[in-house]
Amino acid sequence: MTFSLRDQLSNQLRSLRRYALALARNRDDAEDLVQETLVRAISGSRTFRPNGDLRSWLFGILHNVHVNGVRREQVRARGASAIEAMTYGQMPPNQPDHVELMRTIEAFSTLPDEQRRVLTLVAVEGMSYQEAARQLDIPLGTLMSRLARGREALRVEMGHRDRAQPALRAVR
Amino acid sequence: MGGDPISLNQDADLHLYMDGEMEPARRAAFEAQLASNPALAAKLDEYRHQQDMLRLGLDMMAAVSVKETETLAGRLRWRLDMDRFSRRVAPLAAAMLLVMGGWSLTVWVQSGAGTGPQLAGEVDDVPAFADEAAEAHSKAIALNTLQPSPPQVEAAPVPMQTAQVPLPEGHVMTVTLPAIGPELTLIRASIVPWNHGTALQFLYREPDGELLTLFVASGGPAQDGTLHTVVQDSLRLVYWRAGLVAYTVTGNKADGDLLTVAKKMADSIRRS
Repeated sequence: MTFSLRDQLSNQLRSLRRYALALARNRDDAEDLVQETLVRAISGSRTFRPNGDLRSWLFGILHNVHVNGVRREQVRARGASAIEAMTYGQMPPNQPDHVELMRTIEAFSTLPDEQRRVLTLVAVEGMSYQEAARQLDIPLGTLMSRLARGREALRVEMGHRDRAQPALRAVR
Repeated sequence: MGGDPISLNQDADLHLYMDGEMEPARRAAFEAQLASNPALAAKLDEYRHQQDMLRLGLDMMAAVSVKETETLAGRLRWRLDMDRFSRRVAPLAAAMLLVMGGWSLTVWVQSGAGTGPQLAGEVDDVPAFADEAAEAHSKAIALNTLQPSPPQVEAAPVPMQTAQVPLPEGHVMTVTLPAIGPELTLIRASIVPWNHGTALQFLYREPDGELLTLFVASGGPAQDGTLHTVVQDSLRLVYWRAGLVAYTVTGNKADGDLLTVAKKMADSIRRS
């Protein structure tokens, strides 16, 4: 099946936002990250091969922009409190799983960077292990151990939140 | 949750199975383990539910439409379409140029022949100032994309001149700026603080509307004027050092064109 460039880009824009949200943990920073990725992609469009993988290319640029930004302390992750405000503002309150969704994203935002990256690429974006390892430039074994640790940490964190906030269950 | 404990191997297999990475021959055996071990099956359900919540949560937050982002995505689409088109017609255009004898310029640029700075070719390591130049250029493009450009003044070619670059501890260094031909219009000049001091960024517009950055940074080891090319974050950069000053040129030009511009600039500084 062949998708037009327009379709591919529309799909990738949403994927880029998801990945940017996972990395930046803040809606404004995530949007900045996506915009800067697009700017760099425009500037370097000639490096994209005609039959290349658009998602890998764009994710690679976004990853580099994020890593460089963190290194220069220009893109600051504002932490779990900011993502809490973001989820309240973004998710409709009548969503059946609203509270659980919010708590999952909050718990996710407390995970270390490398676990969030791997979880997003594999569990959210559905990349194969090979593709995700190549994208992050890490060995396959490292990717698998980060994935397992990330899932387990998220499960434990959700368990803690369940025990700490039993009253929230009643809202569902 | 009771039943048999989960072994380390089973825990590792759980992820392979869930992510579709388990070999087909092993799937049936693992499904038998799931059927006989409620604790293992419960953990799989928990992970799957966690994954669904994560996908749904991030997807809902990503479902926004920001005008500036959509504009940039539109520009990227247009650019990729144009590049695709250019690649299709490039062989024909090259053949026409050869017929017209225009190949000599291409040969000159690719071989690095002629007087002036030498060409070192592609390098792997990106110096910090060149990395910073790529960053500064991308930001300038973003600013230019999201904000209307300031009114431009028709100006005569800018002859070679000098600029004062502030250094740490109150010192000032005078750097030579390259001569700029009439084809480039200066639209913005700014002082850029970076990790190793202060740099100057000059943003030019070319006749076809493309933007070009000249990034001038002071300090660092003195070297000859050899030109280096490198790709950083999908952006082509050409840089060289003259004395204690490092120059980087970058923009969305074809590789040969960018090198030609950089070569002209480096020549003008060398002759000063």
